[in-house]
Amino acid sequence: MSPPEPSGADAFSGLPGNPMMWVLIASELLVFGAALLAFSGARAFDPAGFALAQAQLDRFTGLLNVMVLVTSGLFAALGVAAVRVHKPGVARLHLALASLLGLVFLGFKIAEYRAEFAAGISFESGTFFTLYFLITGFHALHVVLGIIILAIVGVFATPENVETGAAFWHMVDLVWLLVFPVVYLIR
Amino acid sequence: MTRPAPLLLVWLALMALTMAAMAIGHVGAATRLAGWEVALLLALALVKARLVLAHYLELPRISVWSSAILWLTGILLVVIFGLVVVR
Repeated sequence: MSPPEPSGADAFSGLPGNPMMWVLIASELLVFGAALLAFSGARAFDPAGFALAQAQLDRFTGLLNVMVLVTSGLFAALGVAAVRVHKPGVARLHLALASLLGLVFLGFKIAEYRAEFAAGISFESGTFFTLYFLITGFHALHVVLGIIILAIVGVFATPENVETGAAFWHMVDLVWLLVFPVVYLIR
Repeated sequence: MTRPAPLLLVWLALMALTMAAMAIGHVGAATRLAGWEVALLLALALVKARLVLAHYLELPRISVWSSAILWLTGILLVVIFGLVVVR
């Protein structure tokens, strides 16, 4: 006899981690999606101005940060795999490495902001930079929050906790995978 | 279940796709991208999103969550592509 079809109440079944985290992840993805749409919509009205402003971004740092977050995601996934086979110590090590790379990401981002501020660029330097600072700053705040969450689930390293923390971290990773081409590359 | 080897392969694939995006996006140049280059960049982003969802997050491929996130991401990228090429 085949198992019964999942009902609406089972919408969260099979998801890694705490279901409430998935509500948060869904809402965050929608917010970032709307922000990227707003960014692209604004660019459609002023393509020349956006291209001029975008040329002042450090694309190499943005690209480097893609690699940093993708690698940190690998460590978070390895942490989940380790805690599932009852190796919380190994899981903690992997989560610590993921967090460390999160800090590296923030270091690159701060260096990028400093260079932009030094060049006279600010939040008020036009629509491009207003949206750029909003989107990347909001994302950086999520990286900070992710590092805190990874630290907490590292201390209380149960499979559900680690899965929950890693799910948030992968959402942060996923968002940057979309932000980078839309904000830094497309012109 | 520990799957370090497949995870490592996924990481390698993500890095390779990132390097491909670097080349397609002419990271070191200020030239404007052609429509097909924009489309390819967005397609690469979608493939990377799928890899993260399926392997890092281990969302079951048939799960409503995986499908919903991928569809919404796909629609978002198509709309963004439309906004870029209609300018």
